[in-house]
Amino acid sequence: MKKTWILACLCILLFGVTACAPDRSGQLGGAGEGGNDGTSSNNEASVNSDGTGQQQPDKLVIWSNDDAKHLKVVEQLAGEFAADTGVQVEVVPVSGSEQVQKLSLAAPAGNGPDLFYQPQDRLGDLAVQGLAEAVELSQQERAEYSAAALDAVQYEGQTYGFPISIETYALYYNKALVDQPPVKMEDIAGTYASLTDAGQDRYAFLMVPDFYYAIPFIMNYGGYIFGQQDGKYDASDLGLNNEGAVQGMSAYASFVKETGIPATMTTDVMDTLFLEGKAAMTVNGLWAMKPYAEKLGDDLGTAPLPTVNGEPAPSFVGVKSWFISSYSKHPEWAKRLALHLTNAASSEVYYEQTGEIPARPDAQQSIADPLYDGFVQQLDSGVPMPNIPEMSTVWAMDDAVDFIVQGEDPKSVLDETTEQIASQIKASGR
Amino acid sequence: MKSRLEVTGIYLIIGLMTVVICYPLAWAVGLSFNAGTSLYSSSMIPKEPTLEHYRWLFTSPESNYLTWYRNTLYVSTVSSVLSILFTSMTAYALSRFQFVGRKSGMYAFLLLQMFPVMMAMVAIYIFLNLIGLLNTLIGLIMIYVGGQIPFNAWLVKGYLDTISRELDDAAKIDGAGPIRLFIRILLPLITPILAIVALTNFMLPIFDFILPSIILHDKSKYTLAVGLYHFVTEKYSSNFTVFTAGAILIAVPIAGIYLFLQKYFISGLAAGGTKG
Amino acid sequence: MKHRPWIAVGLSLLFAGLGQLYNRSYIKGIILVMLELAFIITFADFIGLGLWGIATLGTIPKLDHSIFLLVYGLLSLIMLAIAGMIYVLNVRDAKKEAEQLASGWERPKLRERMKQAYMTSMPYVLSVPGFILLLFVVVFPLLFAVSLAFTNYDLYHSPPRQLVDWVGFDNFVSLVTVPIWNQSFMKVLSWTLVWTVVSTTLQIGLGLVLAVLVNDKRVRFKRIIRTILILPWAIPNFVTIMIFSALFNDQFGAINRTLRDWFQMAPIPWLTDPLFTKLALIGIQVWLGFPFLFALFTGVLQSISHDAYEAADVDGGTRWQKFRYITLPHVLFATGPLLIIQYTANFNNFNIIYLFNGGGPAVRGQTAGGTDILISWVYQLTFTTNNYNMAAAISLIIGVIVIAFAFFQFRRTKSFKEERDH
Repeated sequence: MKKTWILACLCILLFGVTACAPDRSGQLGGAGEGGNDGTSSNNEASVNSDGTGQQQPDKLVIWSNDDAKHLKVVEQLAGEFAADTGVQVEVVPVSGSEQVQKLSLAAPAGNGPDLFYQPQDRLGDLAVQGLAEAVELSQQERAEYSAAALDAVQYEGQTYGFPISIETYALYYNKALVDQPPVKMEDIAGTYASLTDAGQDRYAFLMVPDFYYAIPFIMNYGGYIFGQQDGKYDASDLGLNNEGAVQGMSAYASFVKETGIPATMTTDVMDTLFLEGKAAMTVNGLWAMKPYAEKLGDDLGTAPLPTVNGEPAPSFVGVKSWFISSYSKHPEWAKRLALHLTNAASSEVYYEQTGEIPARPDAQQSIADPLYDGFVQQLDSGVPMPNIPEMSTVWAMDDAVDFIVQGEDPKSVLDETTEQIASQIKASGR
Repeated sequence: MKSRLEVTGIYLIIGLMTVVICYPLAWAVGLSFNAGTSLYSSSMIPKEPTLEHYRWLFTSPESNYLTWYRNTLYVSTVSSVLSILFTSMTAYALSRFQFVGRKSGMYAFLLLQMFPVMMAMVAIYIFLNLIGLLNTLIGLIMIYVGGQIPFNAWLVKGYLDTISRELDDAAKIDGAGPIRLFIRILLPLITPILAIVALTNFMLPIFDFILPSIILHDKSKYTLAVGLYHFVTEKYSSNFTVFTAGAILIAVPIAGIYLFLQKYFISGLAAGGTKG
Repeated sequence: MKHRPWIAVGLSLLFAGLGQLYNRSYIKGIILVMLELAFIITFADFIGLGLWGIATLGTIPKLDHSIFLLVYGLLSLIMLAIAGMIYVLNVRDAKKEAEQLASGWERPKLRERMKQAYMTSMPYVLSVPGFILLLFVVVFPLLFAVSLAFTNYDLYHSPPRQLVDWVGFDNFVSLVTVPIWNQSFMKVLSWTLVWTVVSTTLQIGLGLVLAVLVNDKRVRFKRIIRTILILPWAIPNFVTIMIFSALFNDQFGAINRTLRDWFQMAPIPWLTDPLFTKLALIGIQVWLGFPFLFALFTGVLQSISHDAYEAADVDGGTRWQKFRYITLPHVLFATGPLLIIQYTANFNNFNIIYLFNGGGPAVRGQTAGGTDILISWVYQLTFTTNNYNMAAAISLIIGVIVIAFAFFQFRRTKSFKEERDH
């Protein structure tokens, strides 16, 4: 037995001789990445690439969201780009929710895209891991996008993404049941009491009781998620249990109770009830418009969220964007492609086919469909969802919302949850 | 009299179980004929039944269902054939030969597989990428075939152990080599347990959505499970009715297989499992 | 010239096959030399990189990708281990042959030797392909997961931007010292144990009872009945769990609706009260899990010989006594290892907990949901903040617990004892 060990050690020693640091002189990293020459030269390229014309690549790879509508429009726009420039674009459908995880494995392995698609709230993750490349936009290029959208794709002072579309939630109502959308949240319970009869599954107003939809209450009473300093989020400053947040959540709890919103409401149930004409109003995102409009037709109306505490309700705003992969060998060309995909003409095509609101003021103005009015107005009072990685811990607030809706004391629940969030942020390794 | 009462009792219990089993299944079937995309419905039998979801699966240009079905059948068939090959070879060695590491090796692997593998997928990804099998059905098959060896080799070995060695000796006297002995004499005798190995490995790719969702990128390469899973995980566009319709179309043939292979299934499983 | 074994050993240590050449086994020698040459030529670069990589995990951020290097390193170690085993065999073979030659042993004819080699190598030839596959598919990912437990791989030490480093036992230390980890641990562990024991025992019990009942010779239509009873097995689990999740919705689920319409019952808080969620989870797991055991037990029952029962009849044993003293011990003893695997599988049954209610409902003052078991709790805590290192560390602990349990149980089963008696 002992002998076997000695032999094994000997073998390892023998090979150990070769086990020294790979030689990185000359062609940078050629040996260092075990055949992934692409990897290192990419980085090189992206470092010195500012402005200087890069050689025209044969092909760019772009990861599109995988649902059929997006895919189709991206393919169409990419085709235009190819016709204009002669650079072929391969559009690969990858589910939006899986792109970051897949990218972190695929890109270093040399299977990654040049350009990929993400909502801005993942930006922190992308930047910290070094998966997305910061971009330089000229003054003229910046002017194309709405200021709010550009803000949302900034992380630690640098701009990363090319905003495609901007989304939020607003009020949908069934004109057959409701003449005028409500102006104040606080009035809903009283005004539409006759429309609610839980025994018959009839509801005047439904929204899913979770943090995402409860944020207007927290903010309008003086709560906040992260404090901000010099335009950057400060994750050590949590405003989710300050006096305002506690008041806001108390108001929220009584709102939910008085309006008769079931505590276990889910989006799926809410949609069914609304489509069946059993719910008169819902709060939902732009993504629900198509199925709603198909079923309700002209009876469907939208409006900005009713005010909370006398102020317009700040809903969470998401900005879907193109990001350039740090592993792209042709970041300059990827940028050109991204600019093409988000220019005025493309944005209109994008809007027509996906129904998403473009992140450009000019394209927003040309939307003729009155159904969009509610959303476009709501965008003015929206707040971008924080894009720092610490945001992922804040969703623990969903549980807090549950507890408070079930009647527990807002102050102690919020204190507990905030402490949990803080300790999770601490344990996350920053 | 007592006997009749007992039999009635047994039937009652079986009847109750049938209700418990069929209740959710009936809901699932009902849902698949329901209009809309939601999992909620006011009645088990839809008021306005529609074949829309089934039609969508087969005819919509956006649907990859048939491709997924084909991929799944391919992965299932190949991996069940390869599993039989690898498993029976390993089990034969374990049952009929003495060699270094035989005793503990098998149990060690069985135990190792109980380890929770949350982080292991990353390793498999990088490994498959290294050998160029990422995003291929072959890579997926390889992982399935490798992963099933310990458990199934243990089952088959158990079965082989029950077969008397006098047969082996007789064959050896007739001049049969170990390979011929195995193929001509033993293999026919262990078909029941091999049927189980084949069946379970045929099922695995149909049921598993975790591994393929990591290994396969292209929608055109998806297997059914991962494809269906995507219908319900997209945050804002989950489509439960199509999901259920797709799932039912998987379950029906499987239930058929169970029905027809039941005899093999039950006797093989027992013999392998008890003697392993 | 006298043949010296130590020269053979030394030569084959120096380079595989040289000893065999010295022993004048030319074919074997040449094959071994070629093997080693091929191995070195093909893999030297890769193994060099891999060993350097696993030792340092990279030195230049963005250029070196620590996780890839770790994988290369582990693969290199596995390849070295395989090569090492062959090397050991090579040296042993050289030594044995040289000793035989030195003692004046006559070498048999080539044909004879080939035949002998064929017979001795048979078990290896048969099991090596499977073994190699196992090394790469089972052992290697496991080694990777274990390695991560000793690194600082989290969001802020993520390649490509940052390097990952070895940190020794730091993660295990913070497991004990950082509040979010140690706070809920005991609570989660105790529910995990209750969950494992209750749900598995119930599914085994139900499977057994039904198998015995259906096996009764007075029962007709056995084939149909058995098919119905194994039906839950025919549908992908994740599909059924999601459908159950909808059926159990407090307000809109079919179950509460049925209870209301038929029995005028108030809605049961299936998804909002931890106790009821636990009951629902156990019920669903039994529903999902019993068919396999039913099929298994049915087979076993058919294999019990009638002699024992007849003897019991002669002694005037009651039916219960026959079940208690003949059927039960036989069935449980015979299927022991499979039953153990059932328990360990439920201990780590992530899918059902996660898909049914996401580990919820939430419970105040703890990071774990009311029905989180260890594995789902770890998943939720580590993946929201990308603490891969902690996920790996806790997985390691869970793995050790499960394997230790299974190991001791295995040793008590019949098949293992028989195995050792060989």
